[in-house]
Amino acid sequence: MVIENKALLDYPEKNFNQTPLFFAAIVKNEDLGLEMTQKLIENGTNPLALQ
Amino acid sequence: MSQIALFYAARDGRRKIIDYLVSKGANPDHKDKNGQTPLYYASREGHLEAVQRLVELGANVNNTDVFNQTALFYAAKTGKFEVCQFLVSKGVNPAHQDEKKQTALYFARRSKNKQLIDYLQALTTGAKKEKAKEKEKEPEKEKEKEPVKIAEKKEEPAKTKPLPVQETAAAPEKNKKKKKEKQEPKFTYRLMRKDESGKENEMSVEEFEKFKKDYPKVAALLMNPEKINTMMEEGEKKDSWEKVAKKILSTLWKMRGAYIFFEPVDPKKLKIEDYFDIIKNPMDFGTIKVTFLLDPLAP
Repeated sequence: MVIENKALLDYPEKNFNQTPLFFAAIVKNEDLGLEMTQKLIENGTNPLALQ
Repeated sequence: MSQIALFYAARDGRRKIIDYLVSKGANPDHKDKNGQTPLYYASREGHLEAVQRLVELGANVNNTDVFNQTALFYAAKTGKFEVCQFLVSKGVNPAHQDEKKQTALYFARRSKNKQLIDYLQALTTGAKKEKAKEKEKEPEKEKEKEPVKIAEKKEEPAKTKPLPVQETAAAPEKNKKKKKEKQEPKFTYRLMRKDESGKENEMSVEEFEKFKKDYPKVAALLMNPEKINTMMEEGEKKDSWEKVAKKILSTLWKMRGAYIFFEPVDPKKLKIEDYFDIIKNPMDFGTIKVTFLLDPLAP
């Protein structure tokens, strides 16, 4: 939903430069995390972004 | 930190996400600023499936970080037996020594996982035995260890009669001991002295007798080289303050939430303008680590 509203997919977290992808990768429910990871990358998040 | 999201997936054992990220170009051997790869994180946390998957995807099991440690060290530190077993089965050398000449066994002992300690102990002993066998095959001349050199300034020229060579291995008393000693190479020691020109000569019996009178305590030690070895080993066991400080820093570094203190606070970035008014002497783990690595004696 947020993605559809053109969120900044590579927006870095304030202190540690983590993009949302870093958080999606550690979601407790792995299937949900995978879905989120896929969504982010499909919509333009860089999978190789460095924190 | 120079880490990609794959490190996070590995640390939390997210096998499917690991697969997906690698399929999207993430390198399973990506190194962070400590030279560590995602494999280190999965190993440390004991996520066997993630470790297996990373290896299948091409992660190098023998990678060494800035401390010359492999992922095995990290699995051993946290007592992750199955991960250690897997890494060894994939070719990691259990006898590999880090920059401080410590092996994974050293860290396993601290984890207090008895199963893991026994396992690594057996492997390390096996590796040592193999080395000893290889040495036995070498010609006798190569087998001899370099003589212990004792620099002692003396004006007298060297005399021809050499001092009898001492063998350190004690005479066997029981048959069991005999077998053990056969496996271990016997070392010989020669007493050397330096003259004023800096030339080294073997010490004669007469010279040693005179040395004995002048320095009875030192001579008594030299007559028992095994005791010197024991003393040296005891000295090594005692932790220096630098070692203790490094241990503390390393423990703090790995604590959950410690990452907040990895780098100095940037008041501009965080928009805390009065930061330096309140914090007069700012400090962070990263600065401590770098300063310590460069010069542990620096203030």
